Amino acid sequence: MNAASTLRVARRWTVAAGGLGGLILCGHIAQAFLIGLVVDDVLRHRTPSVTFFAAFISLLVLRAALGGLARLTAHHAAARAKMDLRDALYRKTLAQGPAALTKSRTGEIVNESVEGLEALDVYYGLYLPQFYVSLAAPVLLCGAMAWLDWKTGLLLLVSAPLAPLLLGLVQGRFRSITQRYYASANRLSAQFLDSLQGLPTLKMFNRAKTHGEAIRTESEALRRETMGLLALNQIVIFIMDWGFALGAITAAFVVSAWRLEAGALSLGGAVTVILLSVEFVRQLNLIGAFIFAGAMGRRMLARVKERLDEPAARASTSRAVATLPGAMPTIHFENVTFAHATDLPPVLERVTFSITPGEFVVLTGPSGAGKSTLLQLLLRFLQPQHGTIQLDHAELNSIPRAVLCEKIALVAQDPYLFHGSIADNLRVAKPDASLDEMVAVMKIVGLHDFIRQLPQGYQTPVGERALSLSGGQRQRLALARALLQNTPILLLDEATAQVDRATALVLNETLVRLAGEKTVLLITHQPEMLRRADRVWHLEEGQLTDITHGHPLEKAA
Amino acid sequence: MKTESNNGSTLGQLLRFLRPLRALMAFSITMRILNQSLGIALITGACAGVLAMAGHTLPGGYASVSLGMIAFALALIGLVKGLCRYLEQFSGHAVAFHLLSLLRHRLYERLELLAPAGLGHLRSGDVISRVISDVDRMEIFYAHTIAPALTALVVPPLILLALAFLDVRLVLSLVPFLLAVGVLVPWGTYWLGRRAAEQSRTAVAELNAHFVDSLQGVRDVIASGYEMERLAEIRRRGERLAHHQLGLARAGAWQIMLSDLLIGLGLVTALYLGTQAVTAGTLTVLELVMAITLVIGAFVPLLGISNLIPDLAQALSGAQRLFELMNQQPEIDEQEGLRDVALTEATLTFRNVSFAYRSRPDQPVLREVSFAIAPGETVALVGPSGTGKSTIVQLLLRFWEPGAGVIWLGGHRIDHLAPELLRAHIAVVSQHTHLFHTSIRDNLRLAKPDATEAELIAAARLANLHDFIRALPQGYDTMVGEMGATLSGGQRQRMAIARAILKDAPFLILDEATAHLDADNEQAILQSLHVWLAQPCRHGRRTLLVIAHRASSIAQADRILRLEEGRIVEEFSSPGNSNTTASREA
Repeated sequence: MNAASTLRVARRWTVAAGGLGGLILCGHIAQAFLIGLVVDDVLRHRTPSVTFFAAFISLLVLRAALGGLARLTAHHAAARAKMDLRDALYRKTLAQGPAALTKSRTGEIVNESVEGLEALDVYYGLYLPQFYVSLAAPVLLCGAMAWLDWKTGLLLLVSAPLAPLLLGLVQGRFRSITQRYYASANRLSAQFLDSLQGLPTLKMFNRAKTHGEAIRTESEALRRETMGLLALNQIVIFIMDWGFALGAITAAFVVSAWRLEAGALSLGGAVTVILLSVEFVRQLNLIGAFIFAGAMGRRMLARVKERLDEPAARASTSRAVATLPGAMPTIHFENVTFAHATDLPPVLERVTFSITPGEFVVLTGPSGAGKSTLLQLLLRFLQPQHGTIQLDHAELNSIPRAVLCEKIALVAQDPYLFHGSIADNLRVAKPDASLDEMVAVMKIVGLHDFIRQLPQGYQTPVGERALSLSGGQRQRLALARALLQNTPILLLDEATAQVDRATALVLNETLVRLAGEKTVLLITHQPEMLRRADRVWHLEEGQLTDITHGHPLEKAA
Repeated sequence: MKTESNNGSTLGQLLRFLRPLRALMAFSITMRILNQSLGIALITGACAGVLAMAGHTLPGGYASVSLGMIAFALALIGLVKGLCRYLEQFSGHAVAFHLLSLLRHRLYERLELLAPAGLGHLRSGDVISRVISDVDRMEIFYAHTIAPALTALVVPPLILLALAFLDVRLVLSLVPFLLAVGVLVPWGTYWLGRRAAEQSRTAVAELNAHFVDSLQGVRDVIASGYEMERLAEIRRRGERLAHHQLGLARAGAWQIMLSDLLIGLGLVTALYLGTQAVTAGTLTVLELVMAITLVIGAFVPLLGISNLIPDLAQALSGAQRLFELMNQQPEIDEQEGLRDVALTEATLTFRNVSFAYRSRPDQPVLREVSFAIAPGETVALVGPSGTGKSTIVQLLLRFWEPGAGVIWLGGHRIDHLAPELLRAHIAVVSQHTHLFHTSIRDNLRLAKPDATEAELIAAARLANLHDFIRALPQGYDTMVGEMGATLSGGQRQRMAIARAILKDAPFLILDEATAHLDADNEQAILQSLHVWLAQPCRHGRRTLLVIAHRASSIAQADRILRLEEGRIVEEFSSPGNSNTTASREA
């Protein structure tokens, strides 16, 4: 979904808010006329009637009500824009997959998706409606003047194009500032997230203070730069302010004095013209007040648009298959080549293999050889540069993600657990899981007894990234989560590396038992698992060797 | 958590930060007052000027003024006004940005003292939200509240003074309207929007935390088929935020409606009284027009503060969240303790140490743990997962304070040592390696900022990492930011090991440090580590504590401690001599 269609609803609210702003301006115009009438009345030695004051007060009530309405409309415009964009941004992240998400970008995307979007409050709520009004104001105001005396209106209309011109100029000048400010805010957010999550490490090395100084120096430099740019660019505001005070009020004074002398304008009319010119300036001042926030919002939108227009990491599906025929699919890699970057040696080089349903395969190899990468390819988090990956002869790219999730579950080396309770984390795999189902899988991984003795049991909160659990407990919880997903294929990436010996032995038994019911692909360094697997593969320097039988897997020519 | 209660109000604390910049702030305020006053002079002058041209006498008896003179005066006023506005804006923003940067740094300093024990109750996303967006909100306070508030106090009385020369009745009739617009309505708006403002700030922080969680866990979200639920939750939290912000918008709508209405009514009252005065002959028509423009102008400075009330309410609740963090007392006073003592030897003693997390006081993690490690010893710590092995390391590093008992390192109680000194003597390779978003070189240098290239390479060699790094196109300058894409779990662990070696501390702790390594790599590293351990460092013999599950990882240990349910239950010496123990324990 692109930014334009995402924002359709929000735009409608914004236009409505702008329309209301126009009506409020008409209210101010009417007020200027009424004051002019009073002046003319007293000149003729008449006091305005009660009806006049009643009409004046009715106008005020109406205008005030419109003002309140405009504020609420503006809120809806901003709220909708923020919500819809936030959705679209997370959808984009999901579509791009984990491989596209780097550490630095987490902080940046968070800043964009939450804090940055909050900047749209001012943009959609205040700036944009006011922008529309400011563009329409010269025409409305000069029209009102022309109604009194067409020459006055026409003369002052000459200054009308000045408004959009100056606004355009200001926006152009602000672009460089906001771009920088925006980038620095993003970087600051990313840097803080990185530092915050790494604070224990920094303290361990006694580096927290110097690290803080480094952040301070950088943000200080950016502040200076911003101020420098601001100093220069606010001159534009100065010119706008002065230019308009001169151009509008002084011109209105000169023109109305001249037309008064010519007898084309009454004295009250002249006062009205000057009050209207003040309104002219006020409208521009209103937009001037939000100019920085408005420019920030524009920059923000541009950035979000860029992100939404980024290509999805996964190749688009050629022909989607709704379901896979077999309950337990065969995994097939055909001639697969993959490298993380073109200048890095390939992790897999023309690798071909099949895993038949129910097989128990152990994958070994030196650290860094690309074992985890192979699993990521199978989960379609990465795309091979060459070759095809199939499940039951269906091209991996043609299988909808939902179907893939029904077939393959993963326990990663560093499983990610979410803020919430133990039950919440299990329900990630199966939102409607019953307590019995949860207990069953937790018993398998040997965590049930531990949970049971916690006062809150399955409702115990685990904290951010489940940091209140030990490493071994986290791994077992992740394994239980994967079991609850109830898939025919289970991918385990050193899933018991941090589990104690006795538990690991029990878990190993479980895995061996599961194999047969499920296809299990296990990355491990434990020697006894190598003995118990149906097949053992060794991955090194891009080559996959079957060491159960001591010869390389068939290699495509 | 402990917080200082006698720290004054949020407002007082915000103003205290302003103190060093008060001169600049005063300048900004002066410029704003001038700007606003000149703005009113401009309208009044233009209107009075038109009437003067039509032959009406100006107050003070100036009978004849030329069109050119008035036009020149207006242009001049406009110029000075523009200049004042520019200076006001610039100095106001200079103050604000300076203070924002200062606030952020103060926050970081406090976070550093608090981490990790004092931050356990907060989520990273929440903290980031405070550091970035709550601090950003202070711009509203420093740049858009103080000067407008003082201007609102100064300019309307000046206008009333001018109005008093024309007609005292006008002054008296205007005062209630001014008070209503300037005091009553803003106060009511604040009262109405205060709760919504607080809830909005909290909702933003919660949304932020949820988003961080959703992004960092995106792999597991996708792999578990959890996408739709996660999206729905983001939408739900977004709607909750919008709901609270609607409360603020409502308060704002009332403020706009009432202010606009009251200003209009003030104007109508002035018109009514003014026209009567003209009829009675106590006011000239020109004076009436001047009075009208003055009345309109008198409300302008008040709106400057009143319109900002919803934003100010948010800024103040943001400030509250900031000071909540800033005033929190750290678990450990990092400033105190001995700094200049030499730790004689790398001995470690735990005596009757008990510990429970404050959030779960009824569940002790460690119960009266006692053990001692002699210099040069290699000791393994084993036990089921979740029994408190890593907690022992956390206590030793003084990230937490034990509930009871004493820990000694190198002949000193660790709570008598400055944490910095203590930590300089311990190198830890923890279960989870945090690598910073920077180059491999910088990540290694964390342990020794002045490390030479040769030292880096030596450490990387010991960790069996050098060949891998050398093969990378950018070598040691390769960025490690990409989560898992460029570095595997085992490589990350080896980075941590290299870092620990580089630190060259007498006390080395490996907490599941080789769990993700293949057998060849592990053996190679353990072998070279033992050679390295045997070389005395500047503090004498090195001591090693290994927390591990694998038999291979603890094979070279002199002794094995077994931790079960928070207690040291068995202690085996020299497991290498007894295969049965080793296999049982490993």
